[in-house]
Amino acid sequence: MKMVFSGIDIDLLHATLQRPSIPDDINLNDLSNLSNLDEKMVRSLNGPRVADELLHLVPNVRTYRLALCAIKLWAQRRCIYSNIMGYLGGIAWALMTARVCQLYPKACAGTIVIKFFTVYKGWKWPKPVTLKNLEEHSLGFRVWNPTTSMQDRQHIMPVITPAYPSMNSTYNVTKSTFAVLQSEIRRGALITGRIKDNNKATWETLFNKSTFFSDYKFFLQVTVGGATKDELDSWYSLFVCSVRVENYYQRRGFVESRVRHLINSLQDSPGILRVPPYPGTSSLIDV
Amino acid sequence: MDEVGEDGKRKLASGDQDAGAKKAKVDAGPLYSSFYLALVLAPRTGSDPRRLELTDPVTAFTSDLEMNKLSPSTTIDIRDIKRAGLPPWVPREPRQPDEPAPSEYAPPAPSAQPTPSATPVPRTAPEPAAKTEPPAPPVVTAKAEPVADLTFDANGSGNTSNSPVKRSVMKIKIGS
Repeated sequence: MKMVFSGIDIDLLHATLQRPSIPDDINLNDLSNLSNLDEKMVRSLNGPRVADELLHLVPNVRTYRLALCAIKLWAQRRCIYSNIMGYLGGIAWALMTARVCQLYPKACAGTIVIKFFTVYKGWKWPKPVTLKNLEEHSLGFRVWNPTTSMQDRQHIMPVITPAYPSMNSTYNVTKSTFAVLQSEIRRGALITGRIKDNNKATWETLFNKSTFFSDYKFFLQVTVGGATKDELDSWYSLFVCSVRVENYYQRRGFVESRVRHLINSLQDSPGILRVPPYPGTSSLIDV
Repeated sequence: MDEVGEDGKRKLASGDQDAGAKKAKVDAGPLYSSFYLALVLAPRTGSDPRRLELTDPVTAFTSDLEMNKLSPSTTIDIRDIKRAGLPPWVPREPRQPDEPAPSEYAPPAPSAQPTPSATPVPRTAPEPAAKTEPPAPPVVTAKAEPVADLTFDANGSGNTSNSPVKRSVMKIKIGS
């Protein structure tokens, strides 16, 4: 459930545990909590479990948090912060920042931000970003593994969650959004390189807002309509982020974004090179 | 205060959805939400206008939506537009003077990467038609003509002349 509470966007997750009662101090990292749960419930539980584990895997939590604030601000300003639209969501940016913190354990937050761009500018995708070795477990949930899964092999920018069962947090990235992400990371590397190089650039430049609608000449405008806000919301959620279980993946569960499908089919059409989406919407009322 | 968009539609900024709901109750008008995909087109090779056929991907997309499960008042409209045709409320951030040019951080040229396709290939003579035609203009002027709006009703039906909504082929003609 998505909601805004006191101006803060919140994704409220739900999971039903096979327990008679839930103590206040429940340890979600205890794998026995996952027994007898279906894939959807495990995914819900994995939100806080990944966040917990991530904080245990970074050498300095304060540095990590500060650096992540900067990376998230940069990603939002550059219009590349949206998992649904095929860019990266909060967890993916967090994992990528955490990996840089692991690589430079003594670095301050500013250095981590600079290294973030250096590291990912040279990253050999689809080599996955991981914070630890992936665990298998007798519980039998599917762990991300490109050597055994053709679906996983198609991921072009894998950033893998650390908590069992490890999943790819960037499965929505398309060829088009990957190109935009790569370009933005190269831009970040250029600017931070200049900042490091005797302040030939400023941090403000890094956070300049994207000029998406000036950068391209042609657009596809998709407008959904409904009589009420509830109708529009149901439309929109069906449209961009429905959870669908397909036959082949019935036992495994599979989250699909229909927008990703549209982008993929458009970018495979003759005459079209890329289809970068704008990660925002506008609403209007017809009067 | 709301901005006024095309066709007199009052626009609510993104994030004002709650405010939008309140106004909708007062105005009892339908609500709309738009999102945008940029289309980066392949360079035109000859002087012929480019023609994009988007019917298949758009039809596949809309049929995948299972609109029959939604209220009949829900609609979807997909259309191609040029930059100049964007509604006034889309954010047009000015380019900052300190912003590096994209060419400064463009990826390395493909020829720098040793791939099999980089093997020198003898250039063949241009095709006969190319010899007689003037060279392509350096700047591609484009003209997008929405042949038809794609509007679908909630049952996924349409395509009839007396239907208030229609399912039709969208073709985009680019070029003169």
